[in-house]
Amino acid sequence: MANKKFVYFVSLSSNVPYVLKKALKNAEEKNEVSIFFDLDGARVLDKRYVKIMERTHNMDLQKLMQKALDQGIKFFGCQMNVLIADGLELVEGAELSGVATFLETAYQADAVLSY
Amino acid sequence: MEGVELMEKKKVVVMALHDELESAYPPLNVAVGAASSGADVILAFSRRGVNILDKRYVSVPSEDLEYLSNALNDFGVSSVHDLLGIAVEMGAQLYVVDMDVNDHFEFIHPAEQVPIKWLLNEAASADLFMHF
Repeated sequence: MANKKFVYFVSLSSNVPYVLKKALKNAEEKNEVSIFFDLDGARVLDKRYVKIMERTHNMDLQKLMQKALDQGIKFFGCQMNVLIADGLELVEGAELSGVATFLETAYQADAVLSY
Repeated sequence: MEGVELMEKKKVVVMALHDELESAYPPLNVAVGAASSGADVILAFSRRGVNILDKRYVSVPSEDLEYLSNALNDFGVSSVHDLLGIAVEMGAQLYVVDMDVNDHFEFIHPAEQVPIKWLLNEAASADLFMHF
């Protein structure tokens, strides 16, 4: 199953490593993948959070995220106002988006998967 | 607005399966966004998600996600029930999958009870189906 469009919607940061691994597999099979990070899921787009995860959970989240971005997977942060107010340090390569961008992408996708 | 008139009307089916704060916002945000852009929106509630429709519902985050509640409050984000009201005003149709409502339930908005098969069939013909 190649050349499909996959959209992941992640609202829990604890699901992010799993989603990244699945997304990478899809991207390696030449599929187009976008990941929308919402609410708690959006925390991973904050460099400060990524550093904390690495320190406390011994998880190389940054490496996994960079690998995904290098594979052409698109990262979108939804409803990031709260994090921006808190001094968000956005991960390079990620874009901020709203529900309109999500819907536009999701309507064109072959699969929309929520985690 | 010729372009808008020519644009195919989208059909969106959203299913809320859980009632925790972090699970309640995403289906409502998608429903409001889709309805406000002119889509036909079916917003269905099942399992614990149906509690969102109860007048007495208060959104509480899961353990370790309490920060979300404070952050959303501090930032003045609409409550779950406010968003639900907006979704209804925008034309979203509310449904409850059968067998999931108890007798003491007080609906904040009317919702039709439907079989899960009806909902899944609607989802099969939708432009977007999401469950949270």
